[in-house]
Amino acid sequence: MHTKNIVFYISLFIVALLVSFGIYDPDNLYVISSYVHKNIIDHFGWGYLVSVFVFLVFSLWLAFSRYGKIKLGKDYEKPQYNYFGWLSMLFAAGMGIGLIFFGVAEPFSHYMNPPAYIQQASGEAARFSMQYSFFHWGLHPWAIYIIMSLAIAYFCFRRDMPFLISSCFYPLIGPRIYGITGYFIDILAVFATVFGIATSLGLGAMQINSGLSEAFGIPDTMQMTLVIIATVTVLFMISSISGLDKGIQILSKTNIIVAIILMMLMLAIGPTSYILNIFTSTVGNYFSSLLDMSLNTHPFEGYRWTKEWTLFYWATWIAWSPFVGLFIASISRGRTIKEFILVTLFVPTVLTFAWFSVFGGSALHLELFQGVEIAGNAVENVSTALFQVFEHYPLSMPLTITAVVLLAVFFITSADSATYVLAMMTSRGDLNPPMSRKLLWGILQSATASILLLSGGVEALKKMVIAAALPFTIVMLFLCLAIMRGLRYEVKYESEESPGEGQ
Amino acid sequence: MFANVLFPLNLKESMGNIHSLARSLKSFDTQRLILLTVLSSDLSGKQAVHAQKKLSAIKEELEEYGFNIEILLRSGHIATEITRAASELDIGFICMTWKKKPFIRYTLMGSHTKDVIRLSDIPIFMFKRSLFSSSDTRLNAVLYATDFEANDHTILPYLNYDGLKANQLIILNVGQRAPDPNAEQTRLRRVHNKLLTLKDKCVESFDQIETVASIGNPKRVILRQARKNGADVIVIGKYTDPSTMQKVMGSTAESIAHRSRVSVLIIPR
Repeated sequence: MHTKNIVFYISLFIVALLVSFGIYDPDNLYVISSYVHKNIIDHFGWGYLVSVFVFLVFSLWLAFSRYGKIKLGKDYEKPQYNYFGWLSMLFAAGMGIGLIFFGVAEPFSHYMNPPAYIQQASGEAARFSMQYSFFHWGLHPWAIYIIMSLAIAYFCFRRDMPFLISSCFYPLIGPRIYGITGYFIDILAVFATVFGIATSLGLGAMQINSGLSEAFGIPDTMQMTLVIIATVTVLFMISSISGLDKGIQILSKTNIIVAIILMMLMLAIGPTSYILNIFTSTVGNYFSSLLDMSLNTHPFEGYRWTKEWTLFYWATWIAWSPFVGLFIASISRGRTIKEFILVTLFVPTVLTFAWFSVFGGSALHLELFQGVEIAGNAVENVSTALFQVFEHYPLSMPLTITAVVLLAVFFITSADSATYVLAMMTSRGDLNPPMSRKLLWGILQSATASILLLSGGVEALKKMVIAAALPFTIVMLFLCLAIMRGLRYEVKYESEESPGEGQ
Repeated sequence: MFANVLFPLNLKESMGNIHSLARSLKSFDTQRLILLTVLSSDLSGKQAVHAQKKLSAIKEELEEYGFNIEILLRSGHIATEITRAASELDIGFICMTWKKKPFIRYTLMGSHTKDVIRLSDIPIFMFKRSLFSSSDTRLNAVLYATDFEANDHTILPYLNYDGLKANQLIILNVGQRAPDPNAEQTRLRRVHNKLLTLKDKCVESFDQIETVASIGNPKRVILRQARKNGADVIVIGKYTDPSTMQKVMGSTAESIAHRSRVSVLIIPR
């Protein structure tokens, strides 16, 4: 085995091993992954909360510090993509399908199943549901992505290191990044990306199927879900072959345009004033309770809820961070640290808040003021929640079709960006990875998603990915240290041309 | 440089240690030795009388080394009084013995010695054990931990001082790795050049000079290198304007003085 391809071969082996396990013994895989997952969440939940809060504070501090002026690239470089293209790709990679999937389902879930200290299906539960939906999809996930992508962009574009997560650790472990430690970090990243994307694609395909079933009466079956995966695979492979500049960028821009159209349409035909009220008051609640939500595990009452939701989300975002971080880094060359952090932190967050207010708000309005009892049903069948809400508003058919199109495009974009990132990670950080590798990872991802859907191993793998978030949290805390070391060295010794190292 | 010395004395200090320190001071060409004891009680009480007697006895014993000895008795906060006396009396450095305290006691009660290191703006010699074996009159090795900042300028005269001459000088720099391999190469080149410049400036005072560039935790690396090279004295600079982190966690110099098994000369910038 050539050492150049060691990450590729070992990753391939691990993916094959786990998929085989998922096919032949999904029950045992579920038992093992549940055990690991449960223990991690039970014992290190507080660690996730503290770490993610540290990432948020560190990002904000970095943006306003003297390091904010440093470019993620050489001083003469300008941003490769304009704001619209950049933001579209950021949003598509960072949230994508998940936001459509949970836009209605999450507020409804919190409304129907709030923590023990809040009465179910009450006004207080509605307020809580919106506030925590904002919290789970707001600043914190983006802070996680920022740490990962900032480190990669800084070390790779400014310091000319290979485009790999392991490169960021040079200030801490030196040439060992080219050895076992470096391989371990990169393989862990490939593992988290493959299974994170596979599970997400599985869920996305199921939701597209539900949407098509609502709109055209197409049967909502496993066979149909597999056909959807196959179709989307062909489409994202075509996009992948066109490369980053054409394929992903065009798809991402399409996503944003379609998403905004869908959102505006819903805002217009839905309870507009109510939605705007929800947006305003929830933004206020969110910011006034930010510190409390960030660090409160509810140890006295409601810890179970925190485990099932907040800790689950934090672990998920961290598990996703290698993929999203590498992708965001690859499109952020030439931006200053300050611009990168502030835009990445606030613009997608505002858009997410608007999304939840529009769709979550419309759904809650049905339940609270129009006497339509759909929350229970939506919580039971999460993939149809959005379409159930559409049914009670005018233009339900165009809304459903637009949502399905949006899902499909998000699906293609996520799979396309994941394929690109996986190919990059397994080609020693080549920013233009070989086509053969992109094709291989593309097919492998879709195959993994299909096989896991068929065998019922999706849940097990999802838990496994979240378990992988624990080592990655530690990796990310060290990334903060590596970023600090790199930036401090640059400002202290390179900008002033002052040699030497101090005690 | 080492002519006038302030020796804050714990009255429980063993005479063996005091003699051992006196021999080292003799080799430094110390002329004037001020024995200082700081009492927590009033200077007119019984304790003061006892202290005066004890100091007079120690003075008598140390006069055999030919020092011009003065006795000073003060009361108040120990570290503050020591540093105040040092600045009032125009002395060259403060010489202190180190008594190892059990961890719990050290953590709970702190250390007057550590406080003196923190407060003092003049050099401190932290005496840990005899510098010379019975037959030697010359130190085996001195380790100088440099950060290439303004400390070098202040410390070089001490390194070249006759009394501190040793067979070997180890000039050590502990830095942090640069962010990428190219920058690291550049950093190493610059560090080596700086070390060679320092070496040139000390070449007449030592038979053998070794330069070491290392990375890692400065406290650990300095102590490891001192052990590895059999150093008798560690010479280290100290920032008089510490960073916030140093204020909270203590400076490298304070930590080295606490953890080292050999004597430490701390020179404030």
